[in-house]
Amino acid sequence: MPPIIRVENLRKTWSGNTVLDGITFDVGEGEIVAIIGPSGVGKTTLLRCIASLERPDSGKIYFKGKNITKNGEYTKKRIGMIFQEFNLIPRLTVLMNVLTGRLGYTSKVASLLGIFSKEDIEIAVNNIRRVRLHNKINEKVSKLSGGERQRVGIARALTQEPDVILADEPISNLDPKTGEKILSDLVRISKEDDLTVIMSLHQINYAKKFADRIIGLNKGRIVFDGYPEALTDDVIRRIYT
Amino acid sequence: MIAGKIQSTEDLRYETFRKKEIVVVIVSFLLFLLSSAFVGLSPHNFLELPKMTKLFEFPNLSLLPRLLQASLETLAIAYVSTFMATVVSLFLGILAAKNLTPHVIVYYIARTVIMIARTIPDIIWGLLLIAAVGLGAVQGVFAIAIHSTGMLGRFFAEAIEEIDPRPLEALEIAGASYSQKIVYGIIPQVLPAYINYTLYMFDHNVRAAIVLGMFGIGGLGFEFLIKLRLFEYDDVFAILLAIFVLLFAVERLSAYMRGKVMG
Repeated sequence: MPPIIRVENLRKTWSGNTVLDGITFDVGEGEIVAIIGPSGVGKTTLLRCIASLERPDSGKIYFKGKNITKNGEYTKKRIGMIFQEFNLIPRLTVLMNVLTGRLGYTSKVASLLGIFSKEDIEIAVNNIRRVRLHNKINEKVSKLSGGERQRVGIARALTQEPDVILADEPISNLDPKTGEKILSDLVRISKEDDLTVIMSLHQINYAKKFADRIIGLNKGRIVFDGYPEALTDDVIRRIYT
Repeated sequence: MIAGKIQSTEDLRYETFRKKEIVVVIVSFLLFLLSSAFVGLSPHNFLELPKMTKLFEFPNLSLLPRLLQASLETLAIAYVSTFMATVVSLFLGILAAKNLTPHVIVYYIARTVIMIARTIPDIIWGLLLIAAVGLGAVQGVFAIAIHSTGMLGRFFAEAIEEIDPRPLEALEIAGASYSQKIVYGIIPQVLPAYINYTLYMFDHNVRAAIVLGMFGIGGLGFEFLIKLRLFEYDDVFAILLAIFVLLFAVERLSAYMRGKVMG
């Protein structure tokens, strides 16, 4: 069986700056992978390439063995994403924001009037329950705290019923305590559903605590790829210099 | 200390009013003098202004009930035209927004349509329509609707261009279609501005409907012109009273509703 995500020799340059300089790795089904490295090292660009939000200059990305580098359509719905800035619609309620995760599945005309099937609503409500926001289901997102907003973001991604969740610095806009709780919820739910997670993280201790595997990036290249136990102080120094 | 001149004490350079600002003030005043001479404005013209009060006669209040129909007609012209303009300019605004237009050619066509509709005043649209089709309230409706479509189309396009694009990425990943992105990602973000502009436009259009009325389109403006021509100044001032009440009520209502939307 092919790996669920395969990244092959990925390169990306931003106005003369090489951000990704030949990245290659596989991710197996159900793996929780943390990507760490100094800021501006290309963690976000890497995730956005996998999500088809950016095109790499060269290299290939496979999803379940299918080349998706130039065909983002195929991965829509099946790869969910959680964003550093949450990327929610503040004027809509928690439920409506989460329901947008179903848009790829619903009949177009009905969805334009805000009509969703009973199943779609059940999926959304269930996910809101799982991130423990059911008592705020009808609140506008603009009224929520940062931590609550990211919970909405997680519920929305889950509501896509994806195979893979990409999380781009999901907790760097939150205080450490809230961030840790949210990360542990994300990992717990992903394990329950056998989801594959690729997340970029600032905090090494959280990467060690929550990930099955850590990839260390430096200057656009992978300088570490292994179990959290193998991430010694020496290795960390190598990643962050 | 000399304004408009860069000065220095030791190693600090400073200026008070900037040279440019002083030039702007002087140039605008000179332009005023020049334009006044051009239109033949002289001080004694100001002394003639009070002549207006000689026209005054106590408003013929018994006329007011009979003005109800004309007032409703004015309001209806404004409402129908604003409604049509809002619907059309919503689509036109989407086509004319850089971040949402389906194609660059569509963008330029939409921008051009908006520009033409907007720059030509509603009265001129009205006179053209009357010349082409003939007199009638419907001509007023279309005239105001065309101009408003241009005004709103431009506002809407700009509001759309200013939205936060990040939620759209989330919708993209969820597999949302173009129309779903508009309904879930764009409209909720621009709705307060839309409602605001539309209410403002309605307020403006009631005034436009009164002015256009004088060109035979009907409503309060038409009544005003007839009575003015007949020198029936007690009726003229009754109509002015009605216009004042109508505009004041519309303005207050529009301000109240805008407050509700923003709050």
